[in-house]
Amino acid sequence: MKRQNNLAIFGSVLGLAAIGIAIDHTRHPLPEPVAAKQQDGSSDAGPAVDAGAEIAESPCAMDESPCGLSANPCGLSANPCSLE
Amino acid sequence: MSTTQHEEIENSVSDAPIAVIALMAIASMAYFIMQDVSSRHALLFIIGTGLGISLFHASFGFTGGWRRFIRERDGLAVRAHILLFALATLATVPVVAGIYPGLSAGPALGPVGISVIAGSFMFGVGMQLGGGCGSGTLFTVGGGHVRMLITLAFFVAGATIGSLHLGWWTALPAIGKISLIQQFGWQGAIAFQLLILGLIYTLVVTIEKRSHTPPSPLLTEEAIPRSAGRLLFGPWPLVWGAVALAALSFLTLVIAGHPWSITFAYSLWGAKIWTALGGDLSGWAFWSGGYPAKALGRTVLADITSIMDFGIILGAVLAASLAQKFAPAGKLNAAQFLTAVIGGLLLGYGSRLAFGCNIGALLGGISSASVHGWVWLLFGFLGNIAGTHLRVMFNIDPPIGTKI
Repeated sequence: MKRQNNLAIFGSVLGLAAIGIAIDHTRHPLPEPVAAKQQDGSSDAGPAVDAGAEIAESPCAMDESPCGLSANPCGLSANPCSLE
Repeated sequence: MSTTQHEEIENSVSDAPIAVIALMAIASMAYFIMQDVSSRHALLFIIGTGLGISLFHASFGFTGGWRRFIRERDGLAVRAHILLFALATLATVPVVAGIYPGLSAGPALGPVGISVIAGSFMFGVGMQLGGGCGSGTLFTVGGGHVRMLITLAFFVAGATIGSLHLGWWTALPAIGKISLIQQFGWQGAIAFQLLILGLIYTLVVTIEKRSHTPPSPLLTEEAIPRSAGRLLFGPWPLVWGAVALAALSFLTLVIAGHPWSITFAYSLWGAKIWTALGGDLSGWAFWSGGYPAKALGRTVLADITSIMDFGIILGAVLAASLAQKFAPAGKLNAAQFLTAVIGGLLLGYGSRLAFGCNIGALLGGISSASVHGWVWLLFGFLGNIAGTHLRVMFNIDPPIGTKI
């Protein structure tokens, strides 16, 4: 495949992705402003992250179920966020 | 003037505007995220671009490095990966153990069970068929490789399908999360992990020596930084890549509050595309609660994993254009197209089942002293062995033992 074709394909895909992000951004709300490191539930607070869904950009900080499943699929006991 | 010289001049001229466009895109996106979301998100986006530059300039891919070790017993890249795991362990374990006052972050702790075993094996096979891992796919897409766009598209599709089936997989037998910090204390966890990594390093060197090829040293004169130009234009020695990735993943840990991860974003993008096309996610348990549901209902720019992935791609575009290597010409035959599709699906599906890719589960898991990271390493590597043989079957590579 010629380089010019690659550039054209890559440019088109990047352009489409930018349009998609812009549409998504205008149609969805921003996270509510909370204290400094609490803006998205992704992380923050203390021992939070849970690869239990890599997800998890840290549902634990929000006192939510890792993996977003009700049955706690991560095989955890009481507190999914604690090392204790 | 020879054809090669002509092409070189043409490339050097044509990549300069791309570098300028990439730089402007990075700056404007960082500014927009800072204004519209938060300065913390903007900082993580910039860290993502740093990761993209480091990955590209050091060619720090897991896929090619593991394949060279499997095929040719060349373990240079594997040893660089071990160095990265060691540095990340030293940096991450004390933070997630909470020994620094005012500095806290969560570990990447995943359950050890059938789901991780099956997922990491599938991911390993997908790495070889798709031609990239979690980080590798992003930086090669940023480098303008069209085949990797196909892999990435099906990576997203696989990760989305994986989110639909995750509940079934996680219901299979598992022994739960095992933290070595919990078992041995943070000092003991570091010592234990460095011991294991040292043993693996020794094993790799022994295998290399037995192949009658003297192992290339990881630390050479080349590793001493001598000019800023090389830092900017590349290529970097693997050691630079390992140090840069360890430093940037540490920054991610302390700023985001969790280890660097990549593939949650793919599931999110797929789910958003599915709903935009009129699909219904209401019956998908993964998206019905917790952080995934929140992320789905918000702008994609509020999701840290997504903005870091965007940063990696744009950082790689910048690095590739600075190195005059952007969008190289290449062939794409039917076998390569088919393996990109199959590989991408396996990468995506496997990453969801394994609670992450070679970054979120392998690097994040090992650096957090989580046993699931070590399980991922074992079965992911076995998957790579299988995938390397499949590449021969698909006529992508010559028979094993033959130098590529």
